[in-house]
Parts: sequence; C-alpha cells; structure tokens
Amino acid sequence: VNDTAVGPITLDPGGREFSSFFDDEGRQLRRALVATYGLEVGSEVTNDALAWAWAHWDRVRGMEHPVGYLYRVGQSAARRHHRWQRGVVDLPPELPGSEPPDAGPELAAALAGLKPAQRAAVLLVHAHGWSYAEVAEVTAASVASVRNNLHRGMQQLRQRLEVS
Amino acid sequence: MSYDLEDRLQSYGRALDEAADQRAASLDELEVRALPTVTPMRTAHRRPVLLAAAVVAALAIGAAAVIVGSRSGGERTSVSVVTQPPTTPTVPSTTAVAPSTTTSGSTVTTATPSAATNLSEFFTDASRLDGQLNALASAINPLVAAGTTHLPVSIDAAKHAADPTVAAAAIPAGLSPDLEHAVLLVYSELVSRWSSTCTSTGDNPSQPFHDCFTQGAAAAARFQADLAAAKALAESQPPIVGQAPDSRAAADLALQISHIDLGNEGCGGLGGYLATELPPIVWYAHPLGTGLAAVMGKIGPSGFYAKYTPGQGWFARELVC
Repeated sequence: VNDTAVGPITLDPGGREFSSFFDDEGRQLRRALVATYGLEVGSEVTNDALAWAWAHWDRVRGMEHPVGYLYRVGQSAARRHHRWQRGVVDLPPELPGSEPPDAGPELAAALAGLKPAQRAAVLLVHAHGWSYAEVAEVTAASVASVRNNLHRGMQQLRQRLEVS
Repeated sequence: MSYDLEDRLQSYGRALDEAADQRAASLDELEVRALPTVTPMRTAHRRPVLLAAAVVAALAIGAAAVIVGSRSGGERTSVSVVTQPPTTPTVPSTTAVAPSTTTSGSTVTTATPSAATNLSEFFTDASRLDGQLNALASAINPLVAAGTTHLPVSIDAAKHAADPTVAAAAIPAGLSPDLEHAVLLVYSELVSRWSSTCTSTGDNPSQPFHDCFTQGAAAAARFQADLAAAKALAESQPPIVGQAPDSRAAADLALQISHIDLGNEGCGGLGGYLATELPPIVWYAHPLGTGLAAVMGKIGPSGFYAKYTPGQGWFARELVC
C-alpha cells in the first residue's frame, strides 16, 4: 500500500488483538463450521461470524468461549443460506495419493450423507484432532452427546465405505 | 475393506484445510472482480437480519475513478421536490470560502487553474442528476399524494438513469479535506434523494411502501446551496495533484463513498443520511490472511476490511447492521 500521501497506516492494540484472534481462533471456527455445513456454506458463514466478531470486538474479546459463541453466530447465518436450506453439503475430495489403495467409495460423499452434528463430531475429532471436550465447548453440546454423535457417525461411515 | 478409517479421516483433515484456504482466497478474488459491475438491486443489503452488510468500493486503477459497486438500482423515488434552495446554505464547518447560492449551470469555468477543473465532471454530473431526480420526484409525488401503492414501470427506467454512481466515479482522490467534504456532502444528497425512492416493484417487503418517500426532501432542499458552496470552494483552491490508485487518499475516498451509500441504502435504509460530518478512518496494518482482507480498520464506529488489488482497485467491506 502506498501510504506516503496520507501517512503511515496505524496499528492499534484492538486491531492487533483481533488479528491474532483471526489467525488462531478464526481457523478453529472455520474448521468447525466447514465440518458442520460443508465447504461453501461453512466458509461463508465463517466470514460472517468473524465480521460480526470484529464489529463487536469489545464484546467478543471478553467472552470466555468466543469460538463457541461465534459458532452459533455462524449457525444463524447458515439457516438463511439457500444452499443449506436445499440440503447441499459440498466437501472436497481427498488429496491425491492420500486415500488407501483399497479405499472404495468416496469419503467426501459418505461424510456429506451424515447428519450435521455427526459429521462435525467425526471430522473435528478424527480429521482435526479435537478432544471431545473441545467439540462440546464449541458446538454447545454435552460431551456425552459428542461421543454419541461420533459413535453413530463412524458407524454409518463404516457401512457406507464398506470398511470392516 | 480393511484399512484404518481414522487414518483416512486424519489425512482428509489436510484436504479440508487446503480446500477451505483456496476457497477463501478465490472468494475474495471473485468479489474484487465483481466490483465494476453495478448491480441493479441491492437486495442483500436490505435484509434486516443480515449481520454484516457488505459495501463494496473500488478505485479503478489509472483513472483514479472510484467505482462503488452493489448499488441498488431502482428502489425508491424521492419524495418531495424542493426546487428553491434555502437561503442559508449548509456546508461543512471547515469550508474556508463562503458558499454562493447563485452559482448554477452544469459546468464550471475558471479564469485560473483551480480544483474546479479537477471536479468539472463531478459538478456536471451532479447538476444533471439533480434535474433528473427533481423530474423523478415530480412524477411520483402526485401518485403518492393520490394514495397509490404501486408505481408505474416507467418509473424504474427514470430511477436507473438517475443513479448517482456516475458522480462518485468523477470524484478524484487527493482533494483538500475541506473540499472533499464539501463534494461528498453534495454526493450524499444525491444518494439520499435517489435512495428514498421506490421502484414499481419495491424491493424490501419488510418496509411499507409509504416509507419509501420520506427521506428525500431535506437533501433536495439544501442541494443547490451545497453544490454552489462546493463549486466556490473548488474555484478558490489550486488544482490537485493526482493520487496513486493504491494511495491512502484513494482508499479513504472509496471508504467514505461506500459509507455514504451504506448510510442511505444499507440495512434497509431509504435515504436520509447526509455527510454533514465525515467519520474518521483508522487503518490497522496487520494482514488478515486469506479469506478476508489485507488490512482492516474502522470508519466511525464500524469496522471494515479492505485490500488493494493492483489493476482492480480497493475492495472494502464495512461491517454494520
């Protein structure tokens, strides 16, 4: 940016703080919302939620669990999303060469067929390495509920992917 | 099959992250590419439940022309037409030269080079739009007074023709602060009048039709005086030195224009916001990474994201509603 005409761009403590939040918690938020709603809707509502966080930063910065709160902001945004209303869940294919030699049916399609809470539990725990407690905190569910969703989700995945 | 499903899912986590990163970056690019397009209806900005109304502004490279995107193109029509300017014009408090209420005409001629030369296109556009908006209001006011709840389709074309976007594009970056304020005040009056009108179909079911016609009168009443004040001020100042498209001056101007548009049209707005004061802009330099913008800041109380793309201009998203 050519800032010589007006003066140097300033950086205040609030902006620096939010930037750090964006880099760290923002990524966690996006993982949770993409796991729940798929790539397109999850990405867009993440932006909505982060934009809301910046607009209300004085409030968000004092929250004990800001990611969980913003997850629900994203949930509200997703309910208005026409693709989500049509039940479209788009997930990317596996990275080239990463699928097992005898992988069989496509993983993304099988995941897209799960219920949102089950998909979120499966992906956050197994794809992103979250603990049950972390998933429960962000999604405002009990640990028992997360465990149940994970169990049922994995059970359905094994059936759909024909994994023993 | 006998492979480990958990291992397969763990690998899939990297695919998810990479795809989300790529998608976030591509979304930004799509938004930037869409800037020059003037969208006829800004329906997204009128959803009352929208958390973050998007306002898009871009400064076209080379010409230093500000192009404000996402304008709603045909909603409301100005209400009361006031053809006589008030006797006491309202101008920005920092204006150094007393406004003249007698200046008129669509072009500005100056004996010596002045900032009016840089603004001649803007003043021409503003005068033309003023006439079009007056004509539009003259056509609509009798209908509204007669109690109509639906305007004829012919109104739509007249409203589209009076879109103030063209005037915004004629404001050069690098004006002195008081002159830029005076010019933006004039622009805000055009936008306020234009935004206070409705089309034949309307575009905001949440707001009654009669609400469409209540916010244009104040702007119309003061327009001629403020235009004259801006012209007089421009004639009193030397020509400006053009600013680079990626300069702070260009970005600040784009933001102020988008702020005026948003104040009048965003969040279900129906005009009424006049730039009698310009909100302060504070920029934060920390890059936000993919998915949002290169820099961010606040304009008045609202946050915004912004980034400059060479060849495409500034992109800014103000976070309100």
